[in-house]
Amino acid sequence: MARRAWDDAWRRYPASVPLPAKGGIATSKQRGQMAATWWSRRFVAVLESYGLGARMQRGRRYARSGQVLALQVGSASIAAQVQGSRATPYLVTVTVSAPSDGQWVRIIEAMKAKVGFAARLVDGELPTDLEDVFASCGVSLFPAKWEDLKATCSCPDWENPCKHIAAVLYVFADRLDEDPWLVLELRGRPRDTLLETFAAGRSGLAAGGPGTSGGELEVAPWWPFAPGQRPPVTAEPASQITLAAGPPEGRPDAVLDGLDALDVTVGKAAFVEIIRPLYDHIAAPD
Amino acid sequence: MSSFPSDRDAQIAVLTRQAGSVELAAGDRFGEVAELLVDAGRVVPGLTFDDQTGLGRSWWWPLPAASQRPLVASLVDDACIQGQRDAATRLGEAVDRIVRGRLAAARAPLGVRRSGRLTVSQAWCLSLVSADPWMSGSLEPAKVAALAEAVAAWVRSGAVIPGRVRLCLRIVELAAANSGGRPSGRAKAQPLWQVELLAQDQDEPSLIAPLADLWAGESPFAPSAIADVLGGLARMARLAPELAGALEEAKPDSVHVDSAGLVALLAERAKLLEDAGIAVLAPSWWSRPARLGLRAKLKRARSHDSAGAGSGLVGMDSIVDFEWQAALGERRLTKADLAALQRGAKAKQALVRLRGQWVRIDVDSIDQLLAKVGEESSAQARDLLKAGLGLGDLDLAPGLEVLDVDATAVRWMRTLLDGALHATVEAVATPPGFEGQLRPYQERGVGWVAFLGRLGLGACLADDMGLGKTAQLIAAMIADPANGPTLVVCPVSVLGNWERELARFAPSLRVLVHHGANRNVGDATLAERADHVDAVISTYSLLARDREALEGVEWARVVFDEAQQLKNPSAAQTRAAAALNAARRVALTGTPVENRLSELWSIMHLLNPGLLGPARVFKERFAVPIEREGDLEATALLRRVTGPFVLRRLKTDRSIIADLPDKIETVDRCPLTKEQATLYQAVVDDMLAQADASDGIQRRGVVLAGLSKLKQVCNHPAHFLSDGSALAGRSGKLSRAEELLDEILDAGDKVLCFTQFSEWGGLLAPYLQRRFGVETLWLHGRVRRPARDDMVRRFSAADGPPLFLISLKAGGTGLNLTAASHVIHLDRWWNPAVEDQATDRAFRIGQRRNVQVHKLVSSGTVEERIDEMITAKRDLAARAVGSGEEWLTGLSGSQLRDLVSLSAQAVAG
Repeated sequence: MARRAWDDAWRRYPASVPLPAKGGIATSKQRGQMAATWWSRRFVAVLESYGLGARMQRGRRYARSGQVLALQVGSASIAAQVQGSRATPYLVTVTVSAPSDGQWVRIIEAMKAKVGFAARLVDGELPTDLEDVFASCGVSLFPAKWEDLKATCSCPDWENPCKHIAAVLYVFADRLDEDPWLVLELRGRPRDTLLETFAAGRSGLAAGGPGTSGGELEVAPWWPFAPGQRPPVTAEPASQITLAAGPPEGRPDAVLDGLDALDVTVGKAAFVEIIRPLYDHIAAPD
Repeated sequence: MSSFPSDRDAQIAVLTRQAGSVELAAGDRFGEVAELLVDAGRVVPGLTFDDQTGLGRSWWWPLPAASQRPLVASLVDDACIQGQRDAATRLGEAVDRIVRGRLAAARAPLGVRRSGRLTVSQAWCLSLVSADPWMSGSLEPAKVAALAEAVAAWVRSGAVIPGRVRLCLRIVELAAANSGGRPSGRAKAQPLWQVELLAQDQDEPSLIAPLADLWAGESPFAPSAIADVLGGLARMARLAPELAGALEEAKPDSVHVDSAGLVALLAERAKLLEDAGIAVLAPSWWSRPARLGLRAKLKRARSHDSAGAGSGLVGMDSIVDFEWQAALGERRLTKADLAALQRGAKAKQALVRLRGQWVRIDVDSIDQLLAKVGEESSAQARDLLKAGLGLGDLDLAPGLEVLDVDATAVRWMRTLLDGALHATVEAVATPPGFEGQLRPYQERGVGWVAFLGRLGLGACLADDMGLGKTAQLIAAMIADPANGPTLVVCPVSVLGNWERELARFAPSLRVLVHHGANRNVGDATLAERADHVDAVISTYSLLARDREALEGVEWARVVFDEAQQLKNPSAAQTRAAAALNAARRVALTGTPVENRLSELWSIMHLLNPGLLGPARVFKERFAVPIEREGDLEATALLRRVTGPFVLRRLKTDRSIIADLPDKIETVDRCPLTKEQATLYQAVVDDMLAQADASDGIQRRGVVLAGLSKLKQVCNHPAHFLSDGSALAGRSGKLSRAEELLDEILDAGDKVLCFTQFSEWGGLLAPYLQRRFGVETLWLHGRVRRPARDDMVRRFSAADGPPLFLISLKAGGTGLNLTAASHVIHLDRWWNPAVEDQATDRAFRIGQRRNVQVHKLVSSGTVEERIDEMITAKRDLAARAVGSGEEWLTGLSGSQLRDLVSLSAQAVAG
C-alpha cells in the first residue's frame, strides 16, 4: 500500500503533469494508425532525424493524449495552443524558413509542366516526385534540419524544442494525412494561392462555393449562378424550355427544408415555423 | 392561435384591391417564370437593408431549383454582372408581387402576436404579409442590417449554384490520317482512339466544355471548376491506368488509347469511373451494340404429309433445309467482313470494323461462330419460325445466337416473318356462293383466315364485336373449302344464331346441328353423318361429353366461337378441344385476353401448339415481366411472336371507319303556322304566369307541363288540342316531314320516324298511310312482342313497308332496323344520347348506304334554342341535361322567359 501511494505521489509531483485537456485535437493515432501516408511518415522521420530523442517522445505522448487544443497553419508558420500543467494553455509558434519568391517561381513553373502535381494534390495525395521538383530548384520539400524551424513556446521549460513544440509538430504531421497541401503551405504557399496560379491566372478561385458570399460579385443571395459565372445565355428562349415547374413535390413548404437553420425567432416561435403555413396559399394546389 | 394587429384588416383591404392589378402583361417572360416558380413553391422570405434611408424592405424571393436554372438563365439578356443583376431584380420583383397578391387574396393568417414594442423580426414577419414591403422606420437600423445579413446567408444556403463540375470522358475515333501523328507504342495497324477530356456541369449534363477551354480560362463554369477537374484527373489516372498519361502533360485535353485500352476502359473501368464521379460518354456502337451472331438462310421446305391425310398442307411440322450464315444484327456479313473477322480473331483484336461500324468481338466465341458459318442443317418449320420471331435458338451452343431467319426461299414463312402479314395478305373478294357483300376490311380478314388455314396454321380472329366475325368466317369456309366438314363450337346461346347466319350467308352449305338430347338418334356415327355435310355446329358443353365422337372425325376445320371459353388450359373442354383432329383451326373472340396473359397462351396453344413454348416458360418469359413489371421489351416480343396469328380490328380503327357508312345529320328548321304561333304564345303566357305564382314542386310541374304543351304545339295544333281535327296544312313541321318523305319514298329508300308522343304517332300513322299510299308501321308501347317482331321482320324484308313510325319510348332495345337509310326525328328529346341511340338503330354494321338523319325543329321556339345549346356543347349537354328535362325546371323566371318566348321570325310567311 505504502509503496503504491509513494509511487502515485512520485508520478504526480515532479514531472509537471499536464491538466486533462477538454476539446483537444484528436490525433488519428488515437483512432488507429498515425501518419498513414508516405508524406506524413516522411515528415515524422525528418523530425525524428534531428536527434532530439526523449523530448520528441514526450511530445508524441502529449499529442496522443490530446493536449494540443488548437492548431492553425499559416503561410510558413504554425500557431497552436497546448494544455500544459498550468491553467492557461501555452502558446506555440513555429516558423519555417520558406523558399524565396524566386525559388517559388521556379517550383511553380516546374509543377505547372505536369498537371498531375496539382491533380494529385487536389485528390488528397502528395505526388511522390514533388521532392525531386523541389530539389531541382535547390530547395528541400520538407524542412531539412532543426535549424530550419524557428519554434517558440510560452512554457517555462528551458528546453527547445520543448515537449509542447514537439506535440504540435506531431499533430501537424497527423494532419498532413488528410491535407497534403499543408506541406506546401508550411513552405510558404497555401492551396488556394497555388490553385489560382495553376488555373492560368483566373481570379476568384476561393469564392463561389455554395453558401459563401461572393461579395462585390454577388447578384442576389438567391441567384442560382455563382458569382463571376456567366449563365448559359445561348439557351433556348423561355417559351421553349420544358418546364420542370408545377405544383411542388410533397408539401408546399418543402423549399424551407432545403435551407440551413435560421436563428430568428418572433416572440417564442421560430420564424420559419411561423412562415410555413403561408405556403399553403402561395404554391399552386396540385 | 392568431391575433391580428389592429390595422391588419385595413392592410388586407389594401392588398385585396392590389391583388386585382397583379395581372401580368402579355408576353411578360419574367411574369411567366415568376408564376411558375411561385406555383412550385420555390420562394423564400428575404430582407434587404437600404444604407441610404436605414430602412429594411422585406421580399419574397425566388429560390430556383436546379432544374429551373435554365429557365432563369433564359431571362438574362446580357451575361455581364449588370445584366444578371437586372434580370434578378425584375424576377425578384415579379415573384414578390405575385406572392403578396396570393397571400392577400387568401387572407392568409399569420401566427404573430404583437405585444409591446415592435421587434425587428416581428416587423419583418408582418411586412411579408403586408401590401407595403417596407419595414417601420422606428427600428434600429443596425439591427435591421444585421437581420438582413443573416437572412441573406440563410437564403444563400439554399441557393443552387452550379459550382459542381465533373470530369467527363468522351470517346472519339481518330481519323486514320491522324493516327500516325502520335507515338502509340503499339503496332501502327492498331486503330487509335481519342478520349476527350471535358468538364460537365453536374446538374446540367448538357453543359459541357473541353478542358482546353478551362485551361485557357474560357469556360462557362465557376472558377472552382478547376479544382473539381483536377481531382477528377487524379482519380481517373488512378482508376484507369491507360489514361494516366494525361497527368504528365501541362494542359491535357485528350488521351489516346489503342483498341484493347478502349475496351478495357469501357468494359472494366467505366463503372468505377462513374462511381468516382467521372462521366464516361461511350460511343453509340458500344452502348447499343450491333450483335454478332448467326442467321439461318432457308433453302427449301421438304414436302410434308401430315398424318397421312393427304392434305398437301405445308405447315408447322414440315422440315426445312437451311444454311448458317454470319450476321451482324439482321444483316448478313459478306466474305470481306468474314475475312476481317477472321483476321481480328487471329490477332486477338477486341474491336473489328464490320459493315462500317465497330463491333466488339468475344475472342472465345468467335471461333465457334466462324466454324458454324456455311454449315447446312435442317429443322422443323415451327422451330425456324420461333427462331425468326425471336424465340428459341435452334439448339445452338451457348454464346451463339440466331439473329435472323432469311426465309426468302420459303414464301409462306417469309410472309409470316416479315411482320406485315396483315397488310400484305391478299384480300379475298366476296366469294361466289356467299349471299351478301363483304366490306373491304372483311375481305382482308377472309384472306388472312384462308391464308393461315391453307398453311395449317391456327388463326385467332379477334375483331371488335359487331365487325362481322361470323360473316368473315362463313366467307372463308366458302373461299377455302378444304376437304371435309367444318366443326363450329360455340356457346348454346349463339347456336341458333350460327344456324341462321349460315342459312342466310351460305344457303348452299349443308349444316348439321349436333346438339340436344336427340343428337345421336339413329345408327349413323357422327363421323358418318358429318361426311354428308359441310358444317357441324356443336357446343362447348358437348366438347368433353361427346369427346370420343368428335375426335373420331377428320375435321377440315375447327372453329371456336367465343374462344375465351377455352382460356383455362386445364379445363376438360379445353383439353378436349386440343384433342380434336383438325387441319385448320380458327378461334373467334372479341377479347383474346380478358384478365391474364395465360388466357392468350391457352388459346394460342390450341391454335399453334408449341409456338409459345410450355406454359411455365411462357409465364417466366412473358406473363410475369409484362403483368408485374410492365416490361416493354417483353410486350413487343410477344406482340411480334403472336402478331401473324391474331387479327384484331377495332371499330375505331381508321381503316375500318373508312369502310363503314357515314352518318349525316341535318337539323331542319320549320316555321310555325299562324295557328301554331298563336297557340304557342298563349301557352307561354299561361305558363309564365303560373310559374311566377308558384314555387317548389308545384312550379316544377307547371314548367314541365308547359314545355310538353309547347312541344305539342310545335308538332301540330291537333296534337295539342286533341280535338280530332284535320291535319293537313296546319303544321310547319308536318309539311317539312311530308316533303322529306316524298323524296325518300320516291328514291325507294326506307325510313324510320321517331316521336316521343304516342298520341302524335297515333294521329300521324293513318294520315301518312293515306297521304303516301304505303303501309305505315306504327310501333308504340302497347304493341305486343310478336306483333313487334313481325313489324321488324317485315320492315327488314326487301319488299316490306318502307315507313316505320316508332314511339321513342316504346322503341326499346334489341331492334335491328338497318334496312332504313333515313331517320327522321319528328320532335326533340333534349338528351343527345337518347336520340343517338334511336339513330343507331339504323346505323349499324349491316348498313350499306349512308344514313341520313333529319332532326325537325320549329324555328324561333324553345326547340330551336335548346337545339343550339346542345349543338354548341354536345358533351357538356349530355352531362348537364342528364336523361330528362328536369334541369329546365330549375331556371329562373327571366331565364325561362328567354328560353320559351317566341321570336319574331318564327311564323311562316
